[in-house]
Amino acid sequence: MLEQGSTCPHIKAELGENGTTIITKYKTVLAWNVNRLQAVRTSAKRRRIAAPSCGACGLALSRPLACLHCEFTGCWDNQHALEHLRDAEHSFCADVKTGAIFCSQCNDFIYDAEMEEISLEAILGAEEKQTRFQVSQKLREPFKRWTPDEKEAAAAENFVSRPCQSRRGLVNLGQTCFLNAVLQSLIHNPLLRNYFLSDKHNWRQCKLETCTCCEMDRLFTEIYSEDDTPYCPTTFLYNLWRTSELSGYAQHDAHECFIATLNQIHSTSRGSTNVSCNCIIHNTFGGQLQSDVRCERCGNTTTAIDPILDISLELKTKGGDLASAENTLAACLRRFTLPEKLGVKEYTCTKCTKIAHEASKRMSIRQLPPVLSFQFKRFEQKTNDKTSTRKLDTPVRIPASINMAPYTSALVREMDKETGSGAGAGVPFVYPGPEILYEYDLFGVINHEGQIDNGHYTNFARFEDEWYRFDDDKVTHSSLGACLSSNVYMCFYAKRHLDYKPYMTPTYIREMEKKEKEKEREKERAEKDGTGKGKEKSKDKDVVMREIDDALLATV
Amino acid sequence: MPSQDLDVLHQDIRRRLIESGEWDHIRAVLYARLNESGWVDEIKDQTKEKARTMEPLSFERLFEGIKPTAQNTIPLSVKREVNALIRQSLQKHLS
Repeated sequence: MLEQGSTCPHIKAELGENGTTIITKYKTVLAWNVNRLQAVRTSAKRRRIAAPSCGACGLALSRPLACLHCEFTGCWDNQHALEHLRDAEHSFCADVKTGAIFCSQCNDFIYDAEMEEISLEAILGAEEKQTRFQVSQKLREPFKRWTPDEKEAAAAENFVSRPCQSRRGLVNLGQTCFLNAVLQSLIHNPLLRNYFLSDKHNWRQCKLETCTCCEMDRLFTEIYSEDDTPYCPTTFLYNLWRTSELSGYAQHDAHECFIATLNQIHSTSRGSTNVSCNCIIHNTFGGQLQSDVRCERCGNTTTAIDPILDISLELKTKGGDLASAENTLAACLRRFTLPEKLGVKEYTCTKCTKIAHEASKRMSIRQLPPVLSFQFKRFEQKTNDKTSTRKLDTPVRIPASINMAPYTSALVREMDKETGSGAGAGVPFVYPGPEILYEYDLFGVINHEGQIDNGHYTNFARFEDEWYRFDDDKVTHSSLGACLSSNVYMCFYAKRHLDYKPYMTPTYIREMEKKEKEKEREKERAEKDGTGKGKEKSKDKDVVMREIDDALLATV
Repeated sequence: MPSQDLDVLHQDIRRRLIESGEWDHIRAVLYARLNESGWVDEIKDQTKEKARTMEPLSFERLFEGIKPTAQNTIPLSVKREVNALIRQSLQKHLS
């Protein structure tokens, strides 16, 4: 690591001297760019967008470099921004889009942790002011940094800090590579990691006998321990055997294992319910799919909304052969959201109540989850006979980042209206809210090599900007290129900027508080009565209540 | 047309495209296509791996080093589509 998190000694000196001027300018410039982009995207009916021009050659710029010392903006291509720094003896200018800072003394772009943080906050702050919820028109809940209060600071004093990244191979316990690949992709899921590392489910305090949450907690403890030898997830496997149908020593499907594990974590989470659950699994993976069925005769559309934890995508086959050019993640999603003709007898319109006419069905994503999981249907089952299943080995191209806007319910129909086909088709431009709300970054991939009956699962996972390859007990440093060119079976994307809901006390805590108050009231009443008998009774009741509370705590 | 006038025309068109938002729209289409084709990730990967061993590390050298590959590997279909978009916009402004 670099000392004090900076590659540039000059910015440190400058920040010490007249930091506030530079920082204010920097923030203004970044917010200006966010607002400019938003103005471009929302003004369908043309409003003129301000275009700064290069102070040297007069060229209009959509992405200028702005001097942090004066009003100058300049271009990169003709080096005018850098010339200005030299001529005016100014030190720093910034790229308005990325916030990258150029130092004239270093004669290069620099990294400075403090400025990086300011840039992230300025951009996020400006974007939050641009985001209104579509229904309530309320502004998005602003991100608040965690600052420990006295109690938390005191508690943290006794803690030993550990690095927030850790990698450990997992031993193959006899054809359990499917489980290892799934576990690694759960371990590298930033939301699950933060949940379990912040001790939200402590296995020492849990009273359930078989609990997948406890197994996850144990797993994270092991992964983040100082021991870096491969770990045997025996208890996890045993738990999987007991709670799902994936038992025995045979190779199982990683996707089946993934879904079974998610369901198990969900059902052993605190406060999990069957409808609109806000357990860690539903908060992380839960989204909504909208399906619109349109009667082609009377135009009546019936809309159904279904909760999803992941999306399974078909691969394109052409006369038995696979068309590789059409197998990109974006192409699969386009096909997924394309209107599909329903068979004649599949649908009865409620409006014109006739059976025998045409209808079309269209899927779209109504609510994007914080983590998107995709599965490519590589295992094609021709008949119900399992032995005839074959594997589609075609490569699928997936991107390191994807914008999900074109596949959302809000935009999918707009797309047809606006562009249809032709140049620029399928790339939405006018959005509800800033583009960033639709941006997702790849953090994990599960691969399947070999044939269906004797295959092997491996996976790739990312921490910050580095990729690692996991093959059971072997963990190796890898690259983005290697990950993207591997044969992908499942892939996982995390939303770049999460949006927050205002904090709400969970219902089970409110219930407990209510009971607590009732108890107190009862006590008071008993004391007022003044009879020893009453007192004893309420005491008994207290004990019973406490037991119920404990039992409740353990189950929720 | 003399080259000076051409420069003035180019500057004028560029300003109009930026002010009308078409510049950003074309850019968005270009980026979406390059990203889907794998170009963005390929260039990023190559540059990053090169940066690991470059001594001393310099943005300008890295940028100049990747530029020829970056320009030569843009898929033909993407070039055609973006050219068509640019033409559409120009016709709107020049007619």
